[in-house]
This record gives sequence, C-alpha cells and structure tokens, in this order.
Amino acid sequence: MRETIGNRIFYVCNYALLTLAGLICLLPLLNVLALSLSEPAAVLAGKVTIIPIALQLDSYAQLMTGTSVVRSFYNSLVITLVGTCLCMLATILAAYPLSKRYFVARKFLTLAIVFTMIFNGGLIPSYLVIKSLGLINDYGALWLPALVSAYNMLILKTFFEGIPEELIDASRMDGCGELRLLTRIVLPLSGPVLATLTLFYGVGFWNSFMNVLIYINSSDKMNLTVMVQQMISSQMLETLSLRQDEVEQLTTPEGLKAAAIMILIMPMLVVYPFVQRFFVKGVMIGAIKG
Amino acid sequence: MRNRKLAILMVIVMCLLAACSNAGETNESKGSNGTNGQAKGGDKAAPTSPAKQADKKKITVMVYDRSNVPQGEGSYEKNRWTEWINENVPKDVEVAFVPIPRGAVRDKLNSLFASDSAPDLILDYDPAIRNDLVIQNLVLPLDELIDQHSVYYKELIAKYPALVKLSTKEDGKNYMVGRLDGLDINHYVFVRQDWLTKLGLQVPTTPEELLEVAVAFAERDPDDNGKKDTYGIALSGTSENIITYMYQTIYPVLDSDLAYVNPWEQQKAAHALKKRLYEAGAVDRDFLTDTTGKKAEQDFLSGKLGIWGGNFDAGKLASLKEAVPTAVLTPMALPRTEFGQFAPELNSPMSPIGLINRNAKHPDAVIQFIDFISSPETGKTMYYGLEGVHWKAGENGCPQIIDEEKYKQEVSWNRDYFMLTSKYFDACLKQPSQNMTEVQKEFADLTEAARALYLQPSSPPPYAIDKNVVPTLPQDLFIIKQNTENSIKDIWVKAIVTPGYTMEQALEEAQGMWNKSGGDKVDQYIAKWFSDNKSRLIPISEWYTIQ
Amino acid sequence: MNTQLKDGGSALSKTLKQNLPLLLMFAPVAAYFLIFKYAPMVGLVIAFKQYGLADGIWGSPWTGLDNFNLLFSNPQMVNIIRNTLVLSLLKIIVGFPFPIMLALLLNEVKALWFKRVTQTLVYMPHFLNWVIIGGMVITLFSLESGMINQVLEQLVGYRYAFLYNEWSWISVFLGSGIWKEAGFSAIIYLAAITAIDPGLYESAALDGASKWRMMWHITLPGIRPTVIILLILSMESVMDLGFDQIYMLQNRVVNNIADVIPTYMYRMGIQGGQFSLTTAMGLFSSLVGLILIVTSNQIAKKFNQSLW
Repeated sequence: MRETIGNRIFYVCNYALLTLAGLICLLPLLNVLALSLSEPAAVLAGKVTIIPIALQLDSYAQLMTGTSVVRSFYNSLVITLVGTCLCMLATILAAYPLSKRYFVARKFLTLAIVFTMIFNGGLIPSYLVIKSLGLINDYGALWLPALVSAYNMLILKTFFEGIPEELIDASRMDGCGELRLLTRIVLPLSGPVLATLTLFYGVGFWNSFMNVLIYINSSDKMNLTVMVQQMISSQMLETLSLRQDEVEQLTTPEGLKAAAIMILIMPMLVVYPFVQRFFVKGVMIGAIKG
Repeated sequence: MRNRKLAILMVIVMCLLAACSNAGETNESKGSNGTNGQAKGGDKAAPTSPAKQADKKKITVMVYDRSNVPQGEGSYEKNRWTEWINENVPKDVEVAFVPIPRGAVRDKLNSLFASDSAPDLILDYDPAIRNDLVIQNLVLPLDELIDQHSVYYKELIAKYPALVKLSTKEDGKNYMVGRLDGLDINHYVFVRQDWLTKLGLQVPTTPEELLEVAVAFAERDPDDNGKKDTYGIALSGTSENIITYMYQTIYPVLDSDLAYVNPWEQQKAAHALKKRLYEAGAVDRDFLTDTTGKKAEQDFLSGKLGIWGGNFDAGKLASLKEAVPTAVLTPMALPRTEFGQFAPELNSPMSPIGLINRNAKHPDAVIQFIDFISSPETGKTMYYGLEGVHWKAGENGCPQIIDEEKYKQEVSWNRDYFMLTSKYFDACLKQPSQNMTEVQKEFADLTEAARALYLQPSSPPPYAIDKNVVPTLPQDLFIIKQNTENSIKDIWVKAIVTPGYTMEQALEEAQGMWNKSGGDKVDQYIAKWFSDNKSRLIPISEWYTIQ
Repeated sequence: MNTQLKDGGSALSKTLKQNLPLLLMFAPVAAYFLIFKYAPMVGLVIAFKQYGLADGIWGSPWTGLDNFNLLFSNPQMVNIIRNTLVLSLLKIIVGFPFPIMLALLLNEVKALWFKRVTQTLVYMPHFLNWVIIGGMVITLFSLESGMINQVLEQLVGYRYAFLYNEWSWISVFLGSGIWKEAGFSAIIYLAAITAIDPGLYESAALDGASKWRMMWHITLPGIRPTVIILLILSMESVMDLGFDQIYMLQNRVVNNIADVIPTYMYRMGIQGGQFSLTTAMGLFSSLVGLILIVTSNQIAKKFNQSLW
C-alpha cells in the first residue's frame, strides 16, 4: 500500500521520538553499568559517566564472593515465581464472578474490595494477624497477604466485562458451565491483560522490600531487593558512633552497589520481551463495549 | 457436574497453597499456615550445634544484618564465629543470634517487640532507639543483675563509673551496658596545603582568615589549570559541621554553669559567615541540593575543593592522590570564634550500647554472655582471628595478619558480633601495621597529626556534656521542636541565598516563629531538665581522662 | 445479600443455580479479604489511643482525638497537606497523557526488534531506586556543574537555578516522575490497544484515513474504558505520595512547596514510639482518598464508565 506523505512524516517523527525516549532511559542504566565496571578511585571521585574507567570485574567478583547475593537471588526467584502464580489464580477467581452482572452482591463486594484499597490497618496489626497464623519467617507471609491486589483485580474485572456478550451467550447455549466458560473462552481472549498483570505481580514480588524485612527473620531467606536496598541506604546512616576502622570496613563501596543494582535489574529486563509476545492484536473480534 | 468440577478445583487450590508454603521453607522446620501458633517469647533459638544438654539456658542476641557474610561462610545465624562463641561461652549458656537488617532497625525491632519475639539482648548504636526502648518500658534495669551475676563487667564499671552514669535514667536506674573505646577523632577537617603554599597563605585560624583563604581558593586558580573551577570550602553534608562546630551551634549548648542556652547568637554568627562565603563565591552554589554531602566529597577527592570535613580513610586518600598526585593535605583546627575554640566531631570514649529485653527468660545468662563478649581476650580473638591460623605475633608484640585474603574472607566481617568489646584496652589497634602502602602511611601520619590537633582539652567539642544524658521531650513538645526547628532552618537558608536579606532580619523572624509556636515552653522544659539533673550530667572534660 | 426476584420461586432457584459456581469461586477470595485486609483494620483504633509496645493494642489507653490535635497543631500543617494534594494531583493530571502517548507511538512501530528494544528501555527506569535516580537528577539540573545548565549557557548565555525556584522544581519533580514511570504505566495501555479490532483500522485505511485520524477516532476511543478506570484508581493514592522521590529531590529552599506528609511523618518518627501518630495520619489520608475516589467514580458514571 502506498504510504501518504503525511503517514511517512508520522513514521519518521515516531521513530525519532521513541529513539529519544529510549536514549534518555538508557543513559542512567549505562551510568550504573559503568560504575560497576570501573576502578574504585575513579568512582569515589565521581568521574565515571557512561563509560567505565579502567575496566575491571572486581566489583562483580566482590559481589559474588563477599555477599550473600547467590542465595538472595535464588530466594527472590522462589518468592516471585510462586507468588505470581498464586496471585494470578486468586485474582482470576475474584475478577470473574465480579464481572458477571447477575452475580448477587456484585456491587457490594466490589465496594468492599475498593474499601480495602483505601483503608489499611498498618504495620503492627497486619503483623499480629500474620503471626497468629504462624506465618512468621515463612514465605507464606509474603504470598498470602498479597494474594489479590485490588488494583489488579479491578483492571481484570474491567477487561472481563468488555468481552462481547455474543461470545458468551453462544457458548452458554452450547451448554458451557461457568468454569468452562472461564477457561475455554474468557481466559484465552484475555492474553494481553493476563500477561500484563502477571508482569505487575512479578515485578511487585521481585521488588518486595518492607514485607520481607519485617516478616522474614532468617538471614538466609532474605531476598535480593533487601540486600541491595541495604547497600544503597547504608551510606545514609549516621557514622558518628562508628569507630574509624569500622567505617572503613562496613561501608559499601560505590562500585559494589552498582554491581548489585545491575544484578537486581537484569532479570526484569530479560523477562519483559517474553511478556511482550502475548500482546497479540486482534484476539477479540468486535469492539469493546463500555 | 459443574459443581464437582469446581470442588475439584478448590481442592487443587488448597493443595497448591499447602505445597507452596512448604516449598518456601528452607532450613527451619516451622509449621505451615494453620492455627498452630508460633512459639512465643524470646525462644528464637536455632541451635548452632546438635544435641547439647537440655538444661542449657538459651538466650538470643541481636546482630546487625549487613548482607555481608562472604560466600561459603554460612549465614548470620550460623557461621564459624557463632560456633566459636558457643564453644567458648560459659558452659550453661547457649547463644542464638537474631539478625536485624541494618537499614531498618527500628521497624524490625518494633514488630518483634509487638509480637513478643524480640531478642533478649539488644545492641544498637542509635541513642534514639535505645532511649525509646527504655521509655516504652521494654527493657530491664540492670544494676542488680550486674551486681549479682557479673564479674568482668562489674569490675569495669567500678573502675569507670562514668559508663554507668551515661545510661542511668531519671529514675536512678541503669538500663544499658556499654563499652570503652577511648577518646579518638572521628571527623577530619582538611585544607589543601599545596594550594596554601602556592598562594602564599597560612592555615586559617580565625573566621576572617577562613573567608580570605576560601575566597582565594575559589578566585586565584590554585590548581593552575587556567579555569576558575575550584571551590574554597564546602558547606554541605559533613562539611557543614566545620561552621556549625566552630560557632557552637550544636545541641545542647550549655554555659559554664551547665545551664541550657538557646544558641540564637551563635546561629546568627554561623549563618552570617555562611552568607559571606556564599556571596563571595567561595562555595558551590549547589550546596543546598547536596543533602548528603556526596558532591562536596567528590569535589574534594577530584581535587576541586580546598577545605572539607568528614570521615576519611586511606581509600579516599588514594582517590585524591590519583586525581592530583601533588596534593598535600593537612588537618586544620577549627578557627577560633568569639564563642571559643572547638574541635570537630570526636569519637566519644565510652558509649552505652546494650539493653536487656524485659521478657528475657534468663537475664542472668545474658549477663554472663555480656561478660564473655566484652572481655579483652574474646575481643582479641574475634578481631584478629585464631592464632597461627590468621595471625602470628609480630615484633612489637602485636598480632600480624598472615594472609590478607584469608583474613578478609574469614574474619573481618564479624565486627558486629562483639560490639560490646572495649577497644580501649587493646593497645595494638593504635599501632601502625607492618606492611603499609605509601598511601596508608601517609594516611596514618595525617591521623596522628589530626589527633595531636583535635584531642586537646583546650579545644573541646562544642557540646559541654556527653550527649547520652539529654532530656527526652514529651510528645507535644517534641512535635513543636521538630517542626519549628525545621521551619527555622528554612529561614536561615533563605537568608543565606537571598541578597539584601540580613541576618538580623532572619534572627528576628526565627525568634518570632519560635516563640509563636510555643518554643519558649520547649526552652523552659529543657532548661529545667538540665538544672534538675545537673548531678547526672557528664562534663566533656571527663572524656579526656580516657584517651 | 441482594436478591432479584422476578416471578416467584423459580427465579430464586435460577439465581442460586447461576450464582453457586461463582460463589464457590469467590469464596477463597472472600476469606482472603476478611483475614488479611479486614481483620487488621481493627488496628485502626490505634489512631485513637496512645499505643505502647508493652501494652499492646488493647492495653493502650484511649486518648480520643488527641493524636489528631497533635498532628494538626503544627502551623505548617495546612501547607503540608496542601503541598501533598497539589503535588499528587499535578502528578496524576500532568503525568496521565504520557503513558498513553507512549503506548500509541509504540503501537505504530512496525519493526518488531525496535519495538521490543524501545519498550524494554522505557520501562526500565521503574526499577531504578530513587536514591540513585535522585542523585542523578540533582546533578543534571544543578546550577554550577549540571549538564542542562552548561548547555543552556552555550545556547542563551545564562544559567538557571532549576532546583531553587518553586515552579521549575515542581517541573523537575513531575518530569523525573514521568520519566521513571511512563514506560511501565504504558504497558496496560498497550494491552488495551491489542484488544481493538484490527478490522477497524483496515476499513479506515481503505477509506483513506491518515494515521492521526485513526489514532484519534479508533485507538483513543478504544482504550477509553481503560483510561477512565485507571484515572479513578489513581485517585485512591493521592495522599500516598512516595517518600523516596520527595526526600531525594527536596532541598531547604523549596521546602515551602516540597514539604509533604511522608516527609513530615518521617520527622515525627525520629524520636520513636510514633505508631499512634502514623496511624492517625494514615486514617486521615485514607479518608481524603475515599472522598476523592467516590467523587471521581460519580463523575465517571456520567461517561458511562464507572468502577462500581
């Protein structure tokens, strides 16, 4: 098909803008990468921009051998994978009934869930509930309280509601029950939004910090985010009460921090292209109804 | 048929949940989610070695989790040092360590206390957290416990009663155990000697000279590169203390009778100097956005800053030398002002660190542990490692590390385990080590010079008393103080950067705001506290007796 | 429970038959919400007590509205609340179009490799911590050594203190927030766009519509439900302005507009024992959030697209 001049200009502008956007997002990443690959003296003096100075892998070596990064990485994986599966399952189970107009108490339940998004008991009451269930120091304390994110659930519900009635009615006439309707019709049509929510949950679990800090006691169950966050914020702690030799030994070098940050971010960058495969156009026939 | 399928689905979901919660466990054999409650009390013991006698007293001790246990050494709960400690501690005591993440101590301790599972022995550097635990009635008074069960620590405080005084509260009881480090410097204040020499200037000793030198550094291109890209002095981060301490504006300010004074005049003078420095162009105009002081430090280490203050080490010196091989540093005494001659931040010779949980099952065992961990022999092994394995005796009688790599892998990360050890009694720590690099030797020399300069009783720190004995304000006064002080700091900053805005105006505005917000009530409370508790105060002069 | 009676008993049994599988599905979810969301809400009473760790929730003494009085006694409080609301609302309103625009642009990319790479790049800043980014932003905009000012000086011979002037600071604050989150927030819009029937585009192309027209008349209306829902949902978090970003970017000169509730609570917490105050402030923020989300939902009803 012949492209009009207008369309061609559009494409050029599009690519230009996106390239610009991509670059301004890439540069800080390059900076962190460069810091992780540079020698300490240059890093301390603030000389490193996006190119490493005196390329070396020492920071990574130090990270691998001098910290608990391997264990933490593994823990993060377990927490993320299991948590995401559980949450997606529960969210689907929550959104599907609420998307059916004939579901009794639909409005009431939706409101009740929105209410929980707004009002929160706070750290201590939540902790006490978790404790009474015997979940302290168990990964269940990370998965169960986050089982259904009201935000994600509401998004899913909206998408489910947008599935054309004709499809559903047709299947129902073929004798489909709710479960079959859900698994055979609704879910396959919701590929993109399911992929999105899986990503949201995955990212949420990978980045969980406060929860892990408070509910997990054993140091060998800590996740990567806690480890990296501690390194980053350690600089901000008062050093007034430390003895001089302790300041030296216990403050994290900048290069090590940068290496840890890279290890933390990498999986997220690697995973995303796989999620993007689910964004297939035209899965649904017919326009979304309001 | 539909319902059956749903029922099957439910069963599968339940199985998944149960299976996953089991999968989430690693070493510990805790129950899965259900109503069997968690074991209560301080019983977080994961026994570090199998099958010890059942009548051992189990105690739990806090240790900072800094995520820095090297690969292969184990975890914070179980590693060569926890085992060594358990082998050498008094025979009927068994110690389990509870790691507390260094970056979130308050939150973690709060949740542990709220659920009755806090460790028996709490060790922390932050006086605010320690005082909070005392005020909330979560810790035990220690006078009798020490008297009845302690040997070593009891002797220690008999010789150094100031240590107890530090943690005795208004009710006359002592709540903390501490350690003696000996008075030492903490912050260094450096000036670029090579720049002074090049410009024909002397180390500044008065505020006027400081201004002159700083302006010269900024204006006269001391690094000789033809560009006006150097700064005289830093005002952000730890360097701010140069001015703050010089003018004695750090809380609490007490006069010669140990009566509390709200340091308005001092604040005005300090900010007046800051304004003059700023307007003369001697300071980086971005200093207000440099909230952590990182940029100031980077400027100093890349050779662009003339006067800087803060924590320093050989690594930073190496960085500076690499950027500017000809750089020469010299420690600088704080210029003398109309308020006196003061020293920059020093390491207090003694600090209270440990508290015992009110719900500890075996406080006597905790005291025994304290005795063990604070004894010099324990400290020596934990600091240097095992004789023959990590160190051997050197010529000066002090331990020499055999293999640096092995030491780093196996020993040097264990510092938090013996926080209570008094370094004061290890003379070897102050000795220079045998094989030092050029940079390390230079740094050691600088340290000696700084010590000679800052540790004089004639130039004490600006606070007249040890800051461990200060009033804790009731909540409403605390809120007033926090908020109003915050707003007043904004006024001072505005005065610095706004041309034509004089310090008199700023002072008037600040005082007006303070009084309007109820600041006078705060002043009265603090003043009354200091006069009521005068006998408990520890004057700074006592610091110099433990050097 | 609301029952919908139509014509006698058979309607009731039909409703039950229809709903039973749904109820079974929802049951574990209901249990979850009760146990993990509603049970802890009981702890909100801390806002009306003087909570002490030693006493526990029930043993702590009641103090009525004292905590609220203490919090709001600060003369700066009006300022602080105002700042929180203003910055938050600006963030939502100004920031809203960008993920949508990004999604629209990305959608039009034909080269798959370019699309994947760019998508991944723009979503990456979401994962960088404000502690790191904050430092970078400040360095970028700083007066003396910042790159922006250096370029500015070359171009117009004049430097500008972005971080010291109120409106420019707000712009930096908003801009850095958009930069960080736009890529990630665009994902949901990309998902919504894929649900639009490609046949619509084909017929529009046949009718000779340009890209702009197609975007305006097909894509945007197609994702309208998503946009509105997300807008309503974002109202809930208005008082939830993140601590990290403000803390890293603020400085004393702009405190008048940059001091917000999270930083205020941080100051309050320094002495410790601040649960009652934090819970009280949280309760207040939640109430404001409730009002906002209900209002926006009511407005959305006019557009036929509401959350409930």
